[in-house]
Amino acid sequence: MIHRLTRSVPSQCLFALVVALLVAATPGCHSKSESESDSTEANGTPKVTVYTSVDEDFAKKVLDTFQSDSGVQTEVVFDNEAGKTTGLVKRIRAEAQSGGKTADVFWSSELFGTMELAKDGLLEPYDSPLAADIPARFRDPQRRWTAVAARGRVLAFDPTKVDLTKLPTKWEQLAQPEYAKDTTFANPLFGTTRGHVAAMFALWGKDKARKYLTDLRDGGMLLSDGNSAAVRAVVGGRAKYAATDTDDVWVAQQAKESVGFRFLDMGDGGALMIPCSVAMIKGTKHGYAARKLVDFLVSARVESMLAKSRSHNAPVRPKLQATLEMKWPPETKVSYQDIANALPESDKAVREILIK
Amino acid sequence: MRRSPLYALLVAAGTLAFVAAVVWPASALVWQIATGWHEVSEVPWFGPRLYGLLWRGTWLSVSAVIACLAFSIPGVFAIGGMGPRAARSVTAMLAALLFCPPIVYVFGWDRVVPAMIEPHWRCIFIWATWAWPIPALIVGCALARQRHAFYEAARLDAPRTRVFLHVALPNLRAHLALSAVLLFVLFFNDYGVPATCGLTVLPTDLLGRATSSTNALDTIMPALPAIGVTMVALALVYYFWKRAPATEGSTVRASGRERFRWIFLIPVAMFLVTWAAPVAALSVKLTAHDVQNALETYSFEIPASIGVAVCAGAAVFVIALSTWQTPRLRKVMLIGAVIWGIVPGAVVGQSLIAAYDRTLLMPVYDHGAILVLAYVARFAWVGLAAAAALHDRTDKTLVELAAVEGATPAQRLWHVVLPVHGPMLAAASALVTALAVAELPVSTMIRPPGLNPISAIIIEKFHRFEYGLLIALCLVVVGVAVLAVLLLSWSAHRLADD
Repeated sequence: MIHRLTRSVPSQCLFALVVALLVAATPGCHSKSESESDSTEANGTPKVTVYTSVDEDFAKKVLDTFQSDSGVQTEVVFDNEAGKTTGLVKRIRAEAQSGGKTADVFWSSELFGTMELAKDGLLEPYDSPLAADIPARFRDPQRRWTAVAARGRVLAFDPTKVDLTKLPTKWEQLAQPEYAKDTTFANPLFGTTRGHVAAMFALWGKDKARKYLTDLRDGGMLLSDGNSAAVRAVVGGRAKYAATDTDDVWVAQQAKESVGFRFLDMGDGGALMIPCSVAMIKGTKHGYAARKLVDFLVSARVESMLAKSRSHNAPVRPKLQATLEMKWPPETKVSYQDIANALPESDKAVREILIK
Repeated sequence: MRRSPLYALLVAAGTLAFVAAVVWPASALVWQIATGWHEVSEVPWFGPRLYGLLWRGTWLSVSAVIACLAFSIPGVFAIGGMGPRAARSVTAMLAALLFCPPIVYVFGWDRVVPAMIEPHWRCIFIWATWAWPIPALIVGCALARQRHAFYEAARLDAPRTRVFLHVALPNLRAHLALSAVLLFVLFFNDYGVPATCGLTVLPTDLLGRATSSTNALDTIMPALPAIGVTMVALALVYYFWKRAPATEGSTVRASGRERFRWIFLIPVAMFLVTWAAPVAALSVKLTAHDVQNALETYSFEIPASIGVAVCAGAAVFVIALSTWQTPRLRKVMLIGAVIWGIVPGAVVGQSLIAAYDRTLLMPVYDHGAILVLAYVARFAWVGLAAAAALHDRTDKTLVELAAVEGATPAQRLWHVVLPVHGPMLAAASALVTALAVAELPVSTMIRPPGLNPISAIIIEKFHRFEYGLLIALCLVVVGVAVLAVLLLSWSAHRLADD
């Protein structure tokens, strides 16, 4: 009996399974210790780990180009749509706290989370020579971050379902009952929506901004899981208006969805543009490769790639704007630093008013 | 007692995998809670929003359960009246439907049914059209076993409706309740379908909390009501399972089969509508360019994600097998695995980060191994439950005979248990693989550098309106599910032959 059954199930199969498990559980040949220092990198294949909340389809192309051009091996951690940027900022903080640092470079789809990391002392100053032509307001005075390739905060709508003559022209108007009930915002604890609401606090003051959020809530505003989900709510007819980013509308339009957008006035005659940001993580063990990657990400070449991508990010370099004929709308006068300073207050208000 | 080194290795590997995936992360999380209790909460734990989400999840799940039970009625009667060979074919079909992750159906149905349908109804419809095989199989099999009661009553010339209402239905109550509660647990804890329908429910909210807050309690405390509801539901499942009438009488199936032949066509038609229609709707939109683009763009991610899922399946196989000789340990492990299985994915993700985000454990945290551990933590219960069920069915005489002839525990496992139950355990591992490929909440939380899981990419493509790549990747997931089903069919066939 035993002999017969032996033939039917070779024990080698089970052994192979155990080996497969052990192989999976064992660090691979690309483990972290492989290139722990710059000197090792200079001899072997340099490696860099980048955390990015830039949308995966654009980021992947950019990083693949970097890898093939520079020979630096990149390992990427992407963020999910719902947790945009906030998730990675939290992860970088947690890793810094635990001492098990993983990220070398943070390439964020917005700026304010990066400014918070700088404030926490988690970023390494680096003055990239390829960022010399970027206007001063897009660079940290201490060179801990550089901002590039902006997206605008816009109102998305379905042009076939709304009266274009009655579209709001200012963000303030959305809190009016006739608009609020048909409006959707992404969760303002994440991504660019977080900065957008903080900009309202910075520009309008605490009381007016809190009243705005309260009116939106009481008016029946729909809270979506992300900017893309907000656009989807418009496309699906669940909302007439969505506060979102330009790129979310561009990609929906390219998928032949009926959706348009309009820049709204922040209240001082200008729209809010939020750039992506690039920063090196403090204490990186792959400094050489990290600097090379930062140089690449802040370069005019990448700005141009992102401008020509489906995302249509607007370059921050005036020359590139002119070359690509991508003019920015009139901008709000509130500074990025003021917006970053307003974040704690606006986060608190969002939790108290919208997320309780 | 002689112990072979290979057997010792198996036990060590199984125990190590379970400790690494469940025990150690759970301990780390408990420690984090204990030490972080005094920290000020960043997000309110309980409030109108949380209760609103609980209410929404409950009524959505209850509605879907009712719809699902209604959809399953023809299937129940068909399976109840089938012979074993036909039942195996239908089971394979129904498994194909179940093994495919429900988000695939969301995208498929979007192309069949107008997207303007209200999201709540869309969510209920998709859950019901995905999960109707569960009650069809549970209640249908119970009906098949109780057809002797029908047969006896029919011999007394009682009307069939009356026989069904007064004889069969009372015996099926426990199975109906079991199915309903099981469905409720599945729907209540689902992340993918509500998220892709644009609905915020508790599992989606918890992932947001886990992503935004550095305090683990901000995720765990709001998860407690959901865990409580699920625990109560599972206790009910256990209660109904124990109350379900014992198996008996399969010899009268043949007479019933003749009478209800036409009804077999209904579950086949329903399968064609609920599985083939959305999958076909995806397939017809697929172009060669999309396939090429997907394979080129994700030439690493696709095999890596499937590889990680296969490793998770293999690990669960090893865990299940390693406990074969120690039923008490298996029971403890099963309880732990079930508890960890019903905990929302966001909490499991938190626990793994708490356990492995340390300098010494970076090789695990930074590597695909953490995803393997995550999937084992989520789905180890499948393998352990299968092992527990199969252990009860083992021919004790055969095992004792082998022992009398001098076979060591390892030899008994290798030469007696594995040949008989190996296929079924392999099928359970295949199920774990299929579930792991489609797992979303934990995958998005603990992505290691350089490995973007396929499920996270699918959701990203959905958000970016990249339908071509979305469809191509969904069909990859369907392919994995179909392979798993083929393995299941083969093992069922083997069992029947044995």
